[in-house]
Amino acid sequence: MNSFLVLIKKEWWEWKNMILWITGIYLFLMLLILVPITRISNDLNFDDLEAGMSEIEIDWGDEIKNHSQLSQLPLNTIGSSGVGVPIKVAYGIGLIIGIHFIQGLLLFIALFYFADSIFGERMDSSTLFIRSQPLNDHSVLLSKIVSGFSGIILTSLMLSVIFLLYIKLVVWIFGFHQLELYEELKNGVQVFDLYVDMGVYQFVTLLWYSPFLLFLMWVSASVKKKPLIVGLGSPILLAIVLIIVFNNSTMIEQLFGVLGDIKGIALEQLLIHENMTETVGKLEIFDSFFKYIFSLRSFVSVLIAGVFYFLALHSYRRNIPTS
Amino acid sequence: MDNLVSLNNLSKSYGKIQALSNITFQIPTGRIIGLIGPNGSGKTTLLRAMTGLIDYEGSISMLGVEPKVSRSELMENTGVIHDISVLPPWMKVSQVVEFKAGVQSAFNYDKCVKFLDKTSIKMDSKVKHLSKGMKTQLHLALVLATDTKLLILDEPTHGLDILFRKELYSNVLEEYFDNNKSVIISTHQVEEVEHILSDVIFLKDGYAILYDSVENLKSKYYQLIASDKHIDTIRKMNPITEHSFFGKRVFLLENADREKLESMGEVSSPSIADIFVAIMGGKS
Repeated sequence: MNSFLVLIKKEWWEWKNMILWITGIYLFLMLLILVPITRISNDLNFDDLEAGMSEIEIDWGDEIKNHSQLSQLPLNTIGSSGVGVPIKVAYGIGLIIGIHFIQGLLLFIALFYFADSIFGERMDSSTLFIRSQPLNDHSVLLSKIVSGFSGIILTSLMLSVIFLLYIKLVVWIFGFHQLELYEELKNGVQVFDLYVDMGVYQFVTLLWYSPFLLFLMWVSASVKKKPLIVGLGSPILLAIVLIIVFNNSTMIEQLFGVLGDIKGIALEQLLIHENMTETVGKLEIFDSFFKYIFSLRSFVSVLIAGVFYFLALHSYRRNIPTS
Repeated sequence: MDNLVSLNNLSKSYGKIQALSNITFQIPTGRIIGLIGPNGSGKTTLLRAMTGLIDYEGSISMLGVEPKVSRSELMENTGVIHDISVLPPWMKVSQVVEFKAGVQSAFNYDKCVKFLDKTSIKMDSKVKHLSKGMKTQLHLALVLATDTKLLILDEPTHGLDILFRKELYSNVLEEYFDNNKSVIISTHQVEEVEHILSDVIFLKDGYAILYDSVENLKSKYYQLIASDKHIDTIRKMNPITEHSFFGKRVFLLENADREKLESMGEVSSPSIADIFVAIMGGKS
């Protein structure tokens, strides 16, 4: 077998339990939320829902104001029951919250993975074993990056499957499955497209976050202890100093702005689709994949990530075990 | 005879600390070299430089390649066991073997499994659950099942009991060594390896103060248990060491006339350990 694939397999062996644990915890949390959902469903009255629609106020942020006003949407555009829009809105909100929850969870894992990627091997001295094999240093580091990125994307898809099944369960608990609209929603969801979108969504997030992740990898190859604290703390500290001393918020925007940007993209794609007159399932969160992947931001991200990659490589070659 | 290893003016410093100073030697094929020195003498630093794990000054040629430039190529034909346990603790034994088989073409999977079958190591055990001796056995199985030209053992018996030590060295001799290969064994416990060594390198404070074959050393140094009446005469011959043993005076002499010594007492070849202690105590 190609040694690069063997290195990726090694990463899988090391991290598969973590992925299973995360999936388990995620599933547990979702099931826990079912308890209040079940209680609410007992009190739900479809007539009240329809009557109260005009009073619903949702803060969509600036993005939506440029495209449409939710309050102007006709209640009975779709669905013979007349509650089509609220259900679709709920469905859409649910999707966004779910996606962001998965996103946040996986971002945390990404930080943890890259902070530990080299440090773990240095701490238990197994870096000496790896470096006593006929393996190129680039192969070792690249295998970690590829494993990290693909592992996160695949985990997000797996969590998304659970999430969609969960939505179906919630729909069933609320009794929405009795409505004609449910059939429409169910048939409208293009599951394959949705997962392709999710994969691309994660990929772009990781691409834009790659400078920070590769920075963590560099820290992982350099410090003697606590790589996650050093890796997270130092850029945050620098960002705060920049704000206080120079009144410059660029760094903090770069650190946390990606999540906001991704949210904007998701909202934009979710809500501008013909003023919600299409079923949610036909949405394409990224209808223009190349627009994002070949953006200036992606180019700059790859460039900065490349600099951190070579710093990580340099430290990897210099530092043997932490002890 | 081809040189597998060639070092020329190798030096290494960590800040102001000079770990290695101008080390030069060659190692041909078919030799078992003992790299012997006290703790902190630079043995591990030297081996790490030779395996391309650290940067250095001077030049090193290992199997025809510069280790810091072509470590990957070097490791295709070199087996290494480090002074500490380096196998990933979270891995299962079967995964370690599979990993090794995947990254090294010269690795013989069946030979490794056969070797492990002779031990009490189970394939589904995790490395972290193995005893220190078992970890060494596993690592040894990996390197002995790999057809390499050079084997480097850095304090391989550190922390092992006497049974594992004996077994380790007999395995290296029986399963690995032949006239086309060389072995470098770093240790500060000279007595446990001297019976298998063909050459020794003594390291002290980062200097290679002696590199010679065991055969030469045995013919160059003599141990003399002297008769009382010759003690003063022997002292005038500048012995390297003198000590008392069961009431008798024992001397270690270098380049002395054996026939003359035999007339003054009982002459024997000293052990490498004796020579090591004598030289380490004096020479700088």
